[in-house]
Amino acid sequence: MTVIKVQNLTKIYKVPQKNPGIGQTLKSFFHRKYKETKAVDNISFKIEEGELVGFIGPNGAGKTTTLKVLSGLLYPTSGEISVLGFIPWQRKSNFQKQIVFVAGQKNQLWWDLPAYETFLLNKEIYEVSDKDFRQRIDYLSQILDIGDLLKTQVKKLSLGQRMKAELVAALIHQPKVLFLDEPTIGLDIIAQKNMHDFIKDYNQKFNATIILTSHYMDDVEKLCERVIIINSGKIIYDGKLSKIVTKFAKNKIISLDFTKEIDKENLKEYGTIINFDLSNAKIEVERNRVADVTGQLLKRLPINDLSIEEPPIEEIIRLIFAKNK
Amino acid sequence: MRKYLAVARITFANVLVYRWEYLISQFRAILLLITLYFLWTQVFKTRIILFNFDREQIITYVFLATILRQFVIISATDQIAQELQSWGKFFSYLLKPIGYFSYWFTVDLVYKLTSLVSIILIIIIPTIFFQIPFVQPAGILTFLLFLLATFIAILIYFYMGILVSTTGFWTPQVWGLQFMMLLILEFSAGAYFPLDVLPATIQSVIKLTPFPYLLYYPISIFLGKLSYIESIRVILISTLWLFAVFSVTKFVWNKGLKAYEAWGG
Amino acid sequence: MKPGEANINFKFQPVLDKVETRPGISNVKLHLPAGRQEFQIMKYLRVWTRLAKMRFREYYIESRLHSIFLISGKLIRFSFFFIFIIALLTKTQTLAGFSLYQTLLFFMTFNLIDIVSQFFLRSAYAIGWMINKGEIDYILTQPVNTLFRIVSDIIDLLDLATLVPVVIVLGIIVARLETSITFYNFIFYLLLCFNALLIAFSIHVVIIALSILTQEISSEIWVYRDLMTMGRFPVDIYSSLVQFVLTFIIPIAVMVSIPAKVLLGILSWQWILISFAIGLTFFGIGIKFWHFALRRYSSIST
Repeated sequence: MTVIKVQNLTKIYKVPQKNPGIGQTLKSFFHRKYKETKAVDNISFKIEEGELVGFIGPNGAGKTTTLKVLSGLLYPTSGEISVLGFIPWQRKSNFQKQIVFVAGQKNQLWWDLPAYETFLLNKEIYEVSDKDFRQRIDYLSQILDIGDLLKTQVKKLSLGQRMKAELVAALIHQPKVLFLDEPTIGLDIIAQKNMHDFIKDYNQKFNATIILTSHYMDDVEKLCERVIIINSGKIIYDGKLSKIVTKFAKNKIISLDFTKEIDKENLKEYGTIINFDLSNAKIEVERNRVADVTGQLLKRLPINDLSIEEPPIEEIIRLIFAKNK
Repeated sequence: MRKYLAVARITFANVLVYRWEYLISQFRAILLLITLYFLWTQVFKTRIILFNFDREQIITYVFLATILRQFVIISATDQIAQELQSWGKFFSYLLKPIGYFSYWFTVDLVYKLTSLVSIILIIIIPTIFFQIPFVQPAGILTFLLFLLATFIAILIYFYMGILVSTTGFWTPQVWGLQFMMLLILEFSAGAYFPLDVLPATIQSVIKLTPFPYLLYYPISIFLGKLSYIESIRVILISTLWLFAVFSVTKFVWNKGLKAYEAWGG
Repeated sequence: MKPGEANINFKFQPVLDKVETRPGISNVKLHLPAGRQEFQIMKYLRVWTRLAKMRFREYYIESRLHSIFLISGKLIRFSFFFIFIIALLTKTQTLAGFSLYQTLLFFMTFNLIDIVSQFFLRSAYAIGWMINKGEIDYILTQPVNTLFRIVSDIIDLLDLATLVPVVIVLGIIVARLETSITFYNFIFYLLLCFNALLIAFSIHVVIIALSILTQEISSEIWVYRDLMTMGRFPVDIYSSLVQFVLTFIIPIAVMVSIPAKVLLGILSWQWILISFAIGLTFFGIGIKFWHFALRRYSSIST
């Protein structure tokens, strides 16, 4: 079942230009000047039920804008959007009961109260029955391992604990579609890993459809099979994470371990040398020449160990963005 | 002296940044003035003298109270309480070679001077336009005594403001206290109506506090309701109050500073 | 490559089976139970009570002292004005033709309307903070009326501590009025008080909408607060120009003086109609402006 359908979505922000000074303020009150920015530029994609899709791109690429349009916070300038069969910006309550929007750097928990209080508020807002509420809290606090922290004032929790509590608050109504905007921002490595495990788990257990944005490649690599890469408001890649490499990386990397020291000059003809320290070396070779080069290397040099690696995805994506600037 | 000029300059720049909010706050002050002006005008439609005031005197009272409030009861010192909450900011002052109270007095003066501009704009010009009748002070001496009493009032309120803010050493919940103190103070200072309106017993209780010396007595001097002898007596008592408030403030401040360093350091 | 076609996972079959056995999972209900209206009213009542409870606990934990001072301050202000009016009217006998108890009725009606509207609409003062914190965005994605949720964000149950004495004093004054009060006048008094709350609500909504439009913390609300205090005394004391402004432009007179006059039986039926018309017009403008602001927010927020 297709859960999210986006067709030719464009979002242009009209930002009123502010001028300092009372005179200018009064003037702009009657005659406002707007600056137009195209945050999202004619993008289309479909997401099926149960997919976990990573939305990646540099700051200001249009990731958050797209999530906001999908969750009904923003009106699209043009294009057709349907989420669970609803038009998001109409903000129908039956739509809102099935989605959630979580922003990593913003919090909905009440600072001076225990997190549990906010859960109770959301219970009423989302009309969750007592029985479901209890079961879900049990399940979520157990899997996130924060049971005894729910009665602690939120301001006394660590950032990682707080993020977990935020998740519980966001999932009390058991949404079918989750929009996670930078869910791991500011978390330490352990907390980040816990978050990964949880998102994956939630996705599989409830067949929930999840879109997450992040600029940590790590989040995406651990969680998402499919990624949508967006830059300057345009989609530049939509597909399997694993295929990015074949599409964008023209070269592979050959790691060599020699039985004895060799001269650096001997390697130059095979490819670009990335590093070299007498008995070890790494060279970059064009994808279609790899087999050929490997054969020659084995034949001509005293090789102990040889392996062929793909360049790291993070590196490739960095290159893509650099190229598209 | 030069460093205080620098403080004054930066404070003034800050006021300019928030000039819109500032003008709105000044505008709010005249709404009360409008209410009181019409109230008394209505009352004096059928009377010549009431509570020992005639129409011109009571209107002068109401206007002077509004103007003086902008000088005496406007103070920067309520910000000290907030500052005590952010430990680092407060201590950065203590490290600077500048007196903490003098620093705030400078800021305070700038506020009062900018008030002068807005008072001329939104009170004095309209009153001339509407030809509102005023009482002139009886003579130059009366006026000088009025100025002296007002100056002492400014100092008394300055230290009172610090005293209330000092509670910030012990609790973050200061502005509720500030709000309550301001209300008590404004009423007992005579900001809303001359104390002569109140029943004799309440009057005599209020007159035992320093509050009437902030507005009520200076205006009474201006209106010639007090003889020279009485005026001088009032000024002497308010000077005593100034020393009393100053000593209490200094004492509590030092106590607070100790408590603060104990849990802060 | 066409977008979205590269990788489409179909994994619904096995996972759906698992769903049935998980605890705490029921299918998301797509249809509301019959009698939807009642259901919604109960829901909103529950959300409101929950928010009130949470704020109460929050204040209890964080700012007990603060609330006590705030309430004492308000009671002190109330007492001082009360004493002032009694002292003044004892001497003058009348103010703009009204007796002591009649003048006090105006003053107490002002307090009643002021306290009740503050109680329900306090959030208007925190709107700037809510915008800055991104709270509006959360509220917009939740299945609850946005305006209701914003307006009920700050409910201070301690406000009721000031309401109780005000209602008691109001009752005593009404009992002592020289004129006897007819049943109809009393009903119209209540209706016009409700009308006053409608106007207060609309003005607050406009101010909230303005803050959402400009995304700035505004001080307009404080100007409204001070204008409201002009209703402490019967509007008849003001010049006709000021009275006109206070009736049609910022209808403080309609909110305070008119209900009191109806109770005294000195208001023509034309004025009653005009007052309700003003109330409804303000309500209409408030709601329209709110929708405009929300629409604008949704198109320009970053």
